Amino acid sequence: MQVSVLRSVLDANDLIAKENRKEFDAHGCFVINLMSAPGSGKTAILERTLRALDGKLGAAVIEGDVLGTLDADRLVPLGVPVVQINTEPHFGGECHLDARMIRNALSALPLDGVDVVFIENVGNLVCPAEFSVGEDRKVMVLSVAEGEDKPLKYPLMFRVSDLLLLNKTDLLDHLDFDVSQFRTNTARVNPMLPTIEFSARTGQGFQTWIDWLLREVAATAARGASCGGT
Amino acid sequence: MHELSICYGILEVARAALEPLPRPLPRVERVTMRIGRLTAVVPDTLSYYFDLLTPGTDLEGAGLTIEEVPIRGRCEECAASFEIETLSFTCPRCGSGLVELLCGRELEVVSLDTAEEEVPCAS
Repeated sequence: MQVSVLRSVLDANDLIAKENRKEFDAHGCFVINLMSAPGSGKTAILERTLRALDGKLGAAVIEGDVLGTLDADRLVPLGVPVVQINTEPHFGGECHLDARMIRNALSALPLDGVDVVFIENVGNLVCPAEFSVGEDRKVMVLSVAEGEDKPLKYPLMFRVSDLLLLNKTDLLDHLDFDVSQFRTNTARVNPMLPTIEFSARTGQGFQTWIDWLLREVAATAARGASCGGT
Repeated sequence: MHELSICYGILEVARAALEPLPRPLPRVERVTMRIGRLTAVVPDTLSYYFDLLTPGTDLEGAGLTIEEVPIRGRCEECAASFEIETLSFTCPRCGSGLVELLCGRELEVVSLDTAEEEVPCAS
């Protein structure tokens, strides 16, 4: 006998992601799922971003790492609520955040007065791309030290992302990274992916990123208002 | 690397699919999946976890068959549909980058094949 099933194994995750999304919407939060390989500079980008948003927007951060609180420790002094998820003790050292982990983290994260939530995913260029967590936008970071071939080797993240920050451009003088070849490779996989040449260290491209962020937050707030939200 | 989570997902989907069936449950001989080529899943790794996790569950002893699904796109400008073999998401006919993905991200359990015993329809 054959039992017909035809169900995605991600259904359970996607269902919880939708619930998370409702929770975020109810509080008028714009949510970014920030993804990249380890060491691309996600936390440095957040540090600079949180400083720039201080006094303009209420922000909160959910940090995902296999182990430890090193990243959260860097962000706590900036005065924003930070929740650290470690995938090691409870989830078998998972290489990504999923919707259930975010749901669990939300119980420890007050969302009142929060306009934007940054979810810093576990450093990994593959797995996080597969799992929705209830975000509005997926933003990926690639550092120039990783090489211009990455869109062709790890296409899914480039395909599903809404914005790409090409980070550490201050190192370009010391590397063979070919920006134009990288843009060609990216365009093959996702011709519609906006890319900002960026340096969390020098601030190159930073204002463009903040402008994008403020625009997206405002658009989300307007959408919430037109839906009768707060 | 996330094949472990995917495998837990298979167990959950199978559990839900078998739930309406009368006890004792028939032995599941085969789980058939469709996996799109754009997913970042390594079939060998998934099979490895499947063999590791299924003992002691309703899927104990079952084999896993994986059907790969090609990546196909449809141009939103000229409506051409085409297979994306070389990871180039640009329309081969008109060159537009506005390409809707038709398939290639599947991570689906298609069916469970059970042993021969007759099982009345659950519904």
